Amino acid sequence: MTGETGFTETDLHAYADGELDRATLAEIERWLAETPEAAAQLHAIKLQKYLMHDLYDDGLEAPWPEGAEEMLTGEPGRNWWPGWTRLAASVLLLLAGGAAGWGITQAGSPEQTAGRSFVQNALYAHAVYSHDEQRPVEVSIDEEQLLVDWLSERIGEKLMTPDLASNGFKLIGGRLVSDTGMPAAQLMYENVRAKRVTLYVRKAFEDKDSAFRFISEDGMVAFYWTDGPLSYALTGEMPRGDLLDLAQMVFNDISS
Amino acid sequence: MDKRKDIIEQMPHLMRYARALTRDAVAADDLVQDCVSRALSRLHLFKAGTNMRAWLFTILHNIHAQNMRTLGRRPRAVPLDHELEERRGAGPTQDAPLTARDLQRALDHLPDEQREVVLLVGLEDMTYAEAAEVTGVPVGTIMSRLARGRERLRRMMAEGVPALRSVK
Repeated sequence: MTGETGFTETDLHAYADGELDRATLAEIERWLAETPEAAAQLHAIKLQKYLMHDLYDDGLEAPWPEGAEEMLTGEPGRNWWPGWTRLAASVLLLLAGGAAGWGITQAGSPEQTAGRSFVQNALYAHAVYSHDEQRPVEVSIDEEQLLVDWLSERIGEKLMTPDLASNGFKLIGGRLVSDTGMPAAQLMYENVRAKRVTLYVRKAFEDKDSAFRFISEDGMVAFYWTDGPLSYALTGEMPRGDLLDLAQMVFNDISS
Repeated sequence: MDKRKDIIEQMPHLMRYARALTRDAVAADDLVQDCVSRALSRLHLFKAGTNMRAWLFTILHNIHAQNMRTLGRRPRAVPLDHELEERRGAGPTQDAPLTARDLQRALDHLPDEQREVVLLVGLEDMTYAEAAEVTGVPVGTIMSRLARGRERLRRMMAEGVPALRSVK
């Protein structure tokens, strides 16, 4: 797979794993843009990484072996490590530190941390699946009833599929993803120019409704918010204003 | 600096890696328990300012390798979730999307030395240098195991795992 630029498969892995220096990054990104087979291979690597987190991130919140907890904190295992808590592991660590009397200071509120973790997962899922040529969705819109029933049951709330047709975006299907161990639904929309936006939905990570919050990363933009029992993140690669129009449509459609 | 605090910080990662490595929550608990116990008994050997994460993972890795040698413990297969297929009322189709389950099946068929590196780098975000320290092999070996392991996973996920397919 070595091209004129002299990049090899090893460089591709190093790129995916963040092992390359800044100067090489720009060169390899140019090479990727011109070499579809390398881009496809990179995508396969990213997909594997993503699915690996999907499979194993539950382990981050698993209760510690009782003996280990006692050895580390000097207190008997109480199994207070809450299985139902879906906050980032770092927040749980703060609890661990506090319980043993180290009193680590907290950087952000639990809601902020949970919100960042939520939208990060939404961005990650968007990056992986919206660029998948072969299998962008797990269940296509041809099986709409199955899609809605199945995802609603898994996320534990009735899932709505907002209509964005007046803005040119059609629902093409969706999939179940893991939001740090909690079931989340990803709905994918596409317009005639094959531009995709994803709506990522899971049980609310905060207990009150919120305003739109915005984040931008790696060329992607996302608005996220909580409305009743569910939290939503709408992600796309477009100007912020355009995505805001879509987010507004989603919000209106769901609340109406 | 309290070294115990540094160990506590790594606990979620040790738990996750141990579960991925053993595919068995009970075996993973034993492994982490042994790792913490050994780490605490050798805490005086840990040099301040060096990498606590790599040190702990090295200990965990060595205990696991020893378990595999002496007990001949083989990983168990994980029950598959057929819920979606059941709802469809049909068996898995060839065009079914790639899911975590496909990866799980493929990982189960990867040689241990490749699986470890794929997990350390892909799941635990270790640098190649850290993965080399943990597994005790040169960085070049890490890179080739990673490339071979990932290519094998990609092929198994695309083409299926022959042994399992004939059983199903």
